[in-house]
Amino acid sequence: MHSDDNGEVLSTRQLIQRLILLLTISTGVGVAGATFGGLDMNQSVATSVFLAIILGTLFFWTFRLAIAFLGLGVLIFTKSLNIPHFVEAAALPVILFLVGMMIVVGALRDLGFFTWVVQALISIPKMTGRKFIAATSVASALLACAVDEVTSIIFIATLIFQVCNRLKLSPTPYIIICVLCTNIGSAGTMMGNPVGIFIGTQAGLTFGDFFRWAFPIMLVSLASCVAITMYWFRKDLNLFDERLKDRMDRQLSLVPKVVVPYKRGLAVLLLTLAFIASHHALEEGLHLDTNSVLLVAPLACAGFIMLFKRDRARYYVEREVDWWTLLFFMLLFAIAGTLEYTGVTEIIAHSFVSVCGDKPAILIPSIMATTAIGSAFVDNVIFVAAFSPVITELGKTMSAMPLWWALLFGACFGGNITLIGSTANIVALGMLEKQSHSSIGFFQWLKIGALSALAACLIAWGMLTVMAPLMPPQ
Amino acid sequence: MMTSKEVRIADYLQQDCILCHVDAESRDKAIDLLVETLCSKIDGVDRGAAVQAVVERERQAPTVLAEGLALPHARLDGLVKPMLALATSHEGIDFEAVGEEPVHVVVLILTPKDDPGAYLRLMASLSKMLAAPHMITRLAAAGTAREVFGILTEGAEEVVVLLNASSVMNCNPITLDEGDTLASAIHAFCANRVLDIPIVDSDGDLRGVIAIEDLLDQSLPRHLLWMEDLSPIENFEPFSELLRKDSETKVADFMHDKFVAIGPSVPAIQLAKMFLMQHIRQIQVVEGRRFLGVVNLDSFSSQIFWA
Repeated sequence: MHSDDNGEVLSTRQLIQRLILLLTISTGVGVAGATFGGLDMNQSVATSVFLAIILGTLFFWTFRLAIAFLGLGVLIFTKSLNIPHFVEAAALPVILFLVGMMIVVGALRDLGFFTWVVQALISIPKMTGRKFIAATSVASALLACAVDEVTSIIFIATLIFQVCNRLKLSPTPYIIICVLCTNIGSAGTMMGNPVGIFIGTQAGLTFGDFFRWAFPIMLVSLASCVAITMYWFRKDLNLFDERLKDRMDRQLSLVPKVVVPYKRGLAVLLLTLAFIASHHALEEGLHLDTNSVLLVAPLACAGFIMLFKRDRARYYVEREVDWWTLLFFMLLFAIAGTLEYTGVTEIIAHSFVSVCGDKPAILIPSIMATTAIGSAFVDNVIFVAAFSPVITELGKTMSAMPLWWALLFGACFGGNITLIGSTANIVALGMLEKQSHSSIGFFQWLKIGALSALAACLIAWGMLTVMAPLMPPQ
Repeated sequence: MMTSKEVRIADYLQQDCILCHVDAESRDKAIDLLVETLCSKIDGVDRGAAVQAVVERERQAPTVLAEGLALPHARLDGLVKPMLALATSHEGIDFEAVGEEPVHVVVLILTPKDDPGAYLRLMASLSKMLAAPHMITRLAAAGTAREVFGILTEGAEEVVVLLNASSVMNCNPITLDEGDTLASAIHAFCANRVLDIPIVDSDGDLRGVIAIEDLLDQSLPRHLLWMEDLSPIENFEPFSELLRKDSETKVADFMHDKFVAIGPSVPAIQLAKMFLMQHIRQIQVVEGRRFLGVVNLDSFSSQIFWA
């Protein structure tokens, strides 16, 4: 038996069936591309391997890294990729940026920053169910902007479990609300989601660009998500109010009141954010390469943290950094880079333009919809990694910035559609199963997830259409 | 560690090690008599040390297992194989066990120090054999060693003893009901000096376990534990609210259901592995949902390493 991260247990027969299906589809598409699509051998191999990675994450979430390793081996052996191009495409700076942020997050937890946020949320005066959930969901979105979506949902979910445990409520609706808001919040900055920093580096977008163009769209989308989900779960919120009142009447609080020392943690976060936010000015002032300061800022902050907390330095690097995921991202970027290296993305870009035309008004919703639907079922990083070279190609003949934002919002908001749409969803569901031994049905999630994603995507489309003429040409 | 072996009492108990109707009123006297009997047949065992070991073990925890029966034991250096001696008494011997009547049958068990399996198998085998209906009465009434030996060896001579959860578990641990209050749980923890208490409903089904950490967990919420150092937090009165409502709060609000439960036939070696790998200190023994007893790490270790 083979256990899956999602809790699915595969029999050996299922494993073999899925493996055969994976190999058949990926090889079949490669062969079909060569026979009917005019792909050469290297292009066919690159397409097959990339497709195998996509199917691998769908069929064998647990083995995705193994499939990525094997895929890289196939690309090297077939000369579809060489080592210099692998190193170039692996987006090492992006990986190091994520390493730095993960270490900073570990220190923030140690220093009590997240404890303070949670304590502040629980201590809202004259608390009601709606007030608590609105504040928590907005906090989860903003926390995702400041650190990342997975970190945010881990801390917020712990708060939800704690409160629901005290009030003897099912945490499911509140977890869904917060996860949906976290995914939307993750589009607000380049730290919110790995796709943000990847798009930032590929497109040469700065922290300021994100703050000016993406953050407002995220805020409006967040407002719509909070409103929709609170209406959707209104009965649960009424029950929350009843239980809360009952507990308060018995003079029982939700948690003990404590004053959490937060200043050092807050200072670390603000300094890190300030360093990241000022990267463009520093790069221009010091004549450095675009985004060079941005990518090393979290590492430099992590370096200072490790100097000040010497006894925890090794712990931060070994335990706080999710090396498994980062290795997967690195190989994924490299394999997606092979599509560009072999010219596959150029062919896809031309096909895209031939189908959708070259008008931003059509391309924006097309890219957003394609990415959103794709991200609903496979890792959004895969989609963004595959689409980035296509956008780069499209950007040669038109202003690419609105298209990059369409890609970002499609990838982040699309994660809301299904319960496997984003890493935050999977992490939260895992915690839910562990904590309350309950699970969420696919369609239970799909109904509210798709609705909130649709609303957010429509808002993003509308705002991007209005803002596109104001965006600078790249 | 052996988990299964055929145990024949006749291999360990000789007829001339059976003393009928001994004239011993006290526990120490009876033990001394039995040790003397065994030591006369074994070379290399210091009688004084053996008596001291058995009495010391008895002082730590009396071995009165059932009405009228005591199984004093010790594990000694220099023994080659386990040895048994048995004494009966008409009047009864005071074994200084609180709440227990005088015992009429005493079985002394001496086993090699480096063979915990032999001790556990013998204990399990004797417990099973002596639990037969009227067995203690019959043994106490027997007039000669030959008669006692006959009673013990009658029927199937070989008893297959599985060294498993049922043979090492505590069948009568402290338990609580779901409806019990936090106040009674706190009392049970403190009075019995236990760290985990099974919660059993009126049908005898296991509903959960309350651990001492569950009480701490209510006072120290999870998000506070994210911090590396809690010492800067001052003016924290973690238990005040908890204690203020202790007579209203039910243990059902505190118990957890993440306990480890096994069936009674799970081999002892598997228990050892579970203790080691899962870092737990108590294993619940259940038949379906019905609660049978617990195996605690300390008593399990004590049986393995001490006696």
